[in-house]
Amino acid sequence: MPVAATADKHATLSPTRRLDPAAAAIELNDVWFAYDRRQVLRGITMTVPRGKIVAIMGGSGCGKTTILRLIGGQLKPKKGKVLVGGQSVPDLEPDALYALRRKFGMLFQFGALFTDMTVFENIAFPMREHTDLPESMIRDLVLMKLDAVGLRGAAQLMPAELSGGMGRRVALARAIALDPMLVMYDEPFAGLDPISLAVVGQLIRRLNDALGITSIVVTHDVYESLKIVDYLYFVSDGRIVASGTPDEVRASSDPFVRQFVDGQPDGPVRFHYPAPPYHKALLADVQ
Amino acid sequence: MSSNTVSDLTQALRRIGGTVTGGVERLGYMARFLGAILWQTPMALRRLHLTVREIYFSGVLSLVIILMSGLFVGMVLALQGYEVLRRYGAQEQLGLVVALSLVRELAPVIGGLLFASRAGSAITAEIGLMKATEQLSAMEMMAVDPIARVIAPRFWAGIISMPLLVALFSALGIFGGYLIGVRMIGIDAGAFWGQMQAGVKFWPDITNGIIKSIVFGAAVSLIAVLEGYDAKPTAEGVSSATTRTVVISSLAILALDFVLTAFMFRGVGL
Repeated sequence: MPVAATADKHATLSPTRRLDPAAAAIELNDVWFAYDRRQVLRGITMTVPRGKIVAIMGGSGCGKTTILRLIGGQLKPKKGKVLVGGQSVPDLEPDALYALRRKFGMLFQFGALFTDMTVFENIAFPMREHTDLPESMIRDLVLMKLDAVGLRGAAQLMPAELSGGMGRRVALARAIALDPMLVMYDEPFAGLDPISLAVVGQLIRRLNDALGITSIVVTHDVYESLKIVDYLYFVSDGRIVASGTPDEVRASSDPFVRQFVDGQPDGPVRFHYPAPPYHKALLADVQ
Repeated sequence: MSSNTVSDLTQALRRIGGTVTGGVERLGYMARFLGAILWQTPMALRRLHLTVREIYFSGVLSLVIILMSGLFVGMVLALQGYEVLRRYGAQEQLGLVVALSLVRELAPVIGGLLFASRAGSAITAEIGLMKATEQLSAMEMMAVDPIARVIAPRFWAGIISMPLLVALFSALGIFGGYLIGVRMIGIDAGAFWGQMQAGVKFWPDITNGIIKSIVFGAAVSLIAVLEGYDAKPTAEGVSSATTRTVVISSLAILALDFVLTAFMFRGVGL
């Protein structure tokens, strides 16, 4: 969804404002990325401070998930820097990249649970792959993680037997299985009922504070995000168009932020994909 | 020559060039993918239980179709063979004809085609769906290489399963031939088994069959895992990849069979 050029003129939340880089766990500097000829990111610059929850918000297809994939090293930018803990992710050799990823946890949009394993085995998976812990200890750790998300009783269920919300919580337990330094959440609230939505939101906040981790939440759920995050970046058309704390966002008069927060159909973000006038298209059909 | 004709010719040449370049690129990609599998093989073998599990899914679960097909192919072969041999008064040779046809040719080829349809398609669909549901991405983000964890065990399971399935296909086929030739038609059982014992050599007959089945197993497994890994992560993409696995594997088996047979006959001086 393209943003009209006027968006920046009225902005009260600076799109270029940066948090203290010294405290940064993650830093993106002028990052450009394209899938073949489709330009997705156009000069993204952002900072994610250590121990904080930062939300990346924007409409569907604006490049939010691409940012997560760049941080995780699954994609390489065409231009710009992606730094995690001071290391340049695109320049890492495969072994170093895999070593870095061991410190990551990621919650995928649809959970991405392994469908041929039980809930228990899904959470034990990273532990079995990366540690030499005895099975008895793995069992205790898995039950601890499951208890943290309230699903200890579902340990022996298969992913197909879980509801959407339960699946998301199991995926969350798996994401924190190895006590990561960074957890990335890709649309953690999508498709959840109000109860599950609130539970998942509180879990993200609680886990972040309890484990002292850094979190990035990619979402378009404004209300839930404002409740739990420390800082927000708004992305549109591959650019950061606004950023600020939840209080600043609530008080903002920025047209883009207001349209997004209030869910207005008209504003800088166009609802319709660019097309010729409607009447002309209809008449052309008749002719 | 008009400009339209020149333009048409250019278009046609461009299309041919594009197809050839695409094919070469695909072969190159396949070679690199095979290299990655071989590189990750020691890691995969350390988790032997994964390969054993895949042998169950690819091999054990293919047993019914392989055994049934082997039995019927052997029975048809005996009926057809008897009809021809009888014309020359050589019906006692039926056991030898059935056994040689199966061991050298029919068991590896038909077994390979059945393996591609049953196990190859299942492997592609499973890996394709894992990709579509981001399970492979999740593994990568957990610092687990999907080539080592998912691809290599399935590849080796296919190579190990195929010769065993082909051996069972041959055994059931010979039993089918025995049922028809000896039990139904009434050929002497001693002649049936004796001619077979005297005429079928371990080298080259059985060995050639084993070599063929290993090569076909490797080809089908490589195509199946590659198509699954490279599938578009959509329902249509997985469906197309599954179809491609069956079609490409079947053609690969038939082409490789010709090449291998040509080399093998030359080796034995025929």
